[in-house]
Amino acid sequence: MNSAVTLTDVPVPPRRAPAVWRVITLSFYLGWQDVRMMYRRTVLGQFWITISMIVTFAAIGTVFGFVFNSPVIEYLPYLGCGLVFFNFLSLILNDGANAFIAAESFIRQVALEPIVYFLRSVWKTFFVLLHNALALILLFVFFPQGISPATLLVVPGLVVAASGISGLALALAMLATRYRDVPQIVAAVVQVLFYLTPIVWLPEALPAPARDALLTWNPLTHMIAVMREPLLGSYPSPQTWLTAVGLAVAFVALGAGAYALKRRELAFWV
Amino acid sequence: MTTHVHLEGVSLDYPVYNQSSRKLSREIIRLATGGQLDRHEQRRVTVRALSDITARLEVGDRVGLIGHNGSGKSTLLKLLAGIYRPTAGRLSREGVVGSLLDISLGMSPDATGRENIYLRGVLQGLSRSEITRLVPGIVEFSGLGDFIELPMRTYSSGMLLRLAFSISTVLSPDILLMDEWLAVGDAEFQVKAEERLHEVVSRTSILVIASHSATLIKSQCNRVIYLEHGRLVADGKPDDVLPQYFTEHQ
Repeated sequence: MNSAVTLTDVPVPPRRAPAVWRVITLSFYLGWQDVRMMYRRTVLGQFWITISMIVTFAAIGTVFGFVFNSPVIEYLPYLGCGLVFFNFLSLILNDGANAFIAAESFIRQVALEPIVYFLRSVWKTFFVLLHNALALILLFVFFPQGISPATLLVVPGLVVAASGISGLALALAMLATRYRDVPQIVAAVVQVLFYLTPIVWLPEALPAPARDALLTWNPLTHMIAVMREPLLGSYPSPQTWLTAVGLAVAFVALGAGAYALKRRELAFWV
Repeated sequence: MTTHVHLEGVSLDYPVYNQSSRKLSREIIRLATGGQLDRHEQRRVTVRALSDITARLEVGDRVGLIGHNGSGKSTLLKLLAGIYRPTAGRLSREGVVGSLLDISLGMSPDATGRENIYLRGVLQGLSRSEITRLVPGIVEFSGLGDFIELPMRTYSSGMLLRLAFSISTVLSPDILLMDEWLAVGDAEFQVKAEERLHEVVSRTSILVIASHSATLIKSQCNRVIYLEHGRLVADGKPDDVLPQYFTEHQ
């Protein structure tokens, strides 16, 4: 026998670890690998994510700071939070909607719960957010917003927004695998939402009717508000919380429902 | 429960999504026109890949799957692996399934050999700490030496397969699925690989291998299932079933 691995001490695979925990750890690991692989062979590695976000802050901040004639010290932190969180949510939608399509060869060859591939995409997006958060921290060093109890609310805000938008993305991913036009539609809608959501522009700059319509009916406005306002030192209004949580619950139910109902067909759809 | 795979009247219909049925616009037009426009096109095209298969695989069964290309061998293997679910009939399975169907799936050319051991390992259902324990043995068996620290894209195709083989065969499943016998690497490695493969096969309670080689099936199997157009034509001892297929097509 020249093989060094004795098969006797190999544990018999799956079935020991609870399935849910396995799905989470496996997708976490694959997502992390994805982020690392994206920037292989570059000197700065995944910190390119951070750098490109800083460049975006500077460019948009300079131009639109003049356009809105608002003091940089107020405008830049507002813009920075908005960009980072919009980037996070839009990536969940765009990358998530493609998750099963991208994992085609896996779904056809490995008997894993396909949700692993969706969560892999969500984790990947989360790691991108962490790198962008570095850019935000840097921004706050130059433009301090002060730390108050309100700041801590960014955590529940993040959980609500991320889970809600992930639920929506999961439903879209199911639809996208069956109907291949969907990812294109998602990409187009997300791009439009960037302009319809108060990220670059300040709500005060719009006339009241247009503003109220955009602030009320755009789900992303609420999802971003629960993450951004705490970082800017204010408490999101109860109405904002209620809307964000309500939407999140509805989206998660939609995504989970679509997955539970159709997950067995995914192997035929890819 | 002892390890087994029982199939009772299992059928598998494979929907085919052609260009038009996959497009959302089609569905929207259908909605807008009240479903009148293309009632005919709504009948989804399906391919019956497996039809009414009944077989009971028990501990000790070494099953060779034979049949032409497109007879349903691969589909049946995927069904046994749990990738597809039967669209009709019942499938009951007990035991951990391991497959050597695509041994390099999930490996990334930009990752190092060592990282790929982890990538492949987690897909095989191992935890990271288990893999860490197995890494030295896998590296040694693959014979890659220091190459293990280099990105996989620097490997020759033979090295790549040696690594994939070394990782995939550390498992010791109850039910082992294979599509043809694996032969990888140069002459020296093949001897080692052969030995390893026999070891894995001898450990498994149930083996199912699809093959076009009568010699392989005679040496490895004690039972042969012959599929034709997704139907089970014959199921029995190799000596009884093999001639039906091989004489017919000589």
